[in-house]
Amino acid sequence: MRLSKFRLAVLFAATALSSAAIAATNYSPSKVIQAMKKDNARLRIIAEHRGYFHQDCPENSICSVEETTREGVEAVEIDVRESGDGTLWPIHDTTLGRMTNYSLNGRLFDPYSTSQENEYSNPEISRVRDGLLEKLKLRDPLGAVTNYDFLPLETMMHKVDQWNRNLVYIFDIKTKSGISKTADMIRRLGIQDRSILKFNSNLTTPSSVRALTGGLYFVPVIGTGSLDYIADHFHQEKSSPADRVGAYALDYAHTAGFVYFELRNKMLRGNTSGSNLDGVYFDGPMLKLDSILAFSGVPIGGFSPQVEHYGRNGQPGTGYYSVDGHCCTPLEARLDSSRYFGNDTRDDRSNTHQMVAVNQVIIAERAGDALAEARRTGARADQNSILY
Amino acid sequence: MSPRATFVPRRPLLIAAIMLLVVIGLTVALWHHRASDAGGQAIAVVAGRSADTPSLAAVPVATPSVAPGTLPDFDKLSDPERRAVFDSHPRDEAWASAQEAALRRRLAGLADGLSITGVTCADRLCVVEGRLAASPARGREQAVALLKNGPLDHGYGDAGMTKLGVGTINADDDGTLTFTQYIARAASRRWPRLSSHGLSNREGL
Repeated sequence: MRLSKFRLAVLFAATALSSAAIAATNYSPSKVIQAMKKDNARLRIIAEHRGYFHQDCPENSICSVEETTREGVEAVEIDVRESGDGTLWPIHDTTLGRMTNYSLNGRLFDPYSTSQENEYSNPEISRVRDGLLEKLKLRDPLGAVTNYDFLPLETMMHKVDQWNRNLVYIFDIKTKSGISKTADMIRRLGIQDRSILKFNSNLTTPSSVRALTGGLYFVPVIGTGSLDYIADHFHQEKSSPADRVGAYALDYAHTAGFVYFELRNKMLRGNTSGSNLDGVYFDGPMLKLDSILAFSGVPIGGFSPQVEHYGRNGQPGTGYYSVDGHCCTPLEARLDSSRYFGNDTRDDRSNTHQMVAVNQVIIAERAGDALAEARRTGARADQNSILY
Repeated sequence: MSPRATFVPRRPLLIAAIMLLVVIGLTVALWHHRASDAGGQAIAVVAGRSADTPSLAAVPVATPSVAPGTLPDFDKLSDPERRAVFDSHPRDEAWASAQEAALRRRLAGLADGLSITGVTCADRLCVVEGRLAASPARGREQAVALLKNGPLDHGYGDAGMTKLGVGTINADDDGTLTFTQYIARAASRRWPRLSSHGLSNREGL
């Protein structure tokens, strides 16, 4: 009897203490999304890019999403593409080789080879049928085949959401038709309160975006490479390219469901422009749009990349995988240009300190580091406001 | 005194210590939850749809606030805000349907390549949508100028309407322009309420 009481007491103690421990990550997704909508230097929101992936834990997988929750991060970004059957699949690359064990000749795709034979194991996902995709396993960041099945997005999200109700899901959708399909999936799963549709603003237009999102939360993305197209096609009644791009952006910002703008602002550290917002210097082609959104009270977010691959023996290249799975190029090899606004001449986005200072939402390759930086600089002082 | 005899009296102390830990743990947990809740309510929902979830499908664009009976400066509004202003006006079926027909009649054929794709009126406000086909005879700037200050304005005037700002002009890849312009009854930016039976003089025309 005494032993029974003793065990009961131990159980109570463990329960009480663990309650205190998990409370720190008991995020309310709807409060997190509301916090994304307001520029607040005391509460930056962090989202993990493709989840926290590592050896034996592939990106965009159940494992990587679970690891993001364990890290105490409040949001995760999941890439979305369509198969040959039009089904949604969680994958970043346009091709299958880097992330799956697809193979026509018994050999896995080698990201460091450009041989024609190697490409046979790297087909575009948009050309492959679901029946074949469902048989594939995922590869981890080191290229090893794991035990994780390559699952359709809806199947994965159904499993993910069974054990996780504290995380905001940002779906990075790569195709126009994928926007409405993902919105439909979100409604079927009943996760509207914690899901955000993210897509390049040029996949649709401000006047037609509502028809695709159905009023769900959304985040449009603009980079330097889109500026000229916008200036040449929208708000021609405005006399300057900057005014046209600004009016276009505000049209999105005033549409129901808008959360924040993700800007591919690559030039943060320069001070040659003399423009200063909250002590952080902006520079480069995105400066005008940055300023228009800042003065209009529209929050911005940004992606903070970190090196994806360090070259080892026999592996050329250090840097970032191409969208077709090949390795690797530095960020500086992917700079964009604009005839109206000038060119990107460097990419400072891996500077976590500046990214946290500038952006309300930071989509970070290493979210734990971004969270630590935000805490160090007082950018999580209001964290309690996003807890239940 | 045997060793067991000395052990037994300590057990209640051990249990008391554990219970103290329970109290401390629960206190910390409750304090943390209370501090984290801006509304002052200690809640801990970890499953299901959250109680503070907004109704997503019904989120409207905020209508710019102006004095009753007046219209905001449309040039300072975004497209969704202009649409929200228009949608906030009820449709007066008698006036709207007559005005829509009049506008379509007066705007047709005002310029080479001009076509009107939509005219919708409310109670004293209309929105006109159309397109201006690309033409080798005029450049982009000329075509834009034609829509900003051209024959359309005369057509609106003939129909007793005046343009609210310059509207929105977008371009296709081939140079065809599409436009949306908001117009209001020309007499005044203040107007009376129009019932299905005609004008009421409550706002003093």
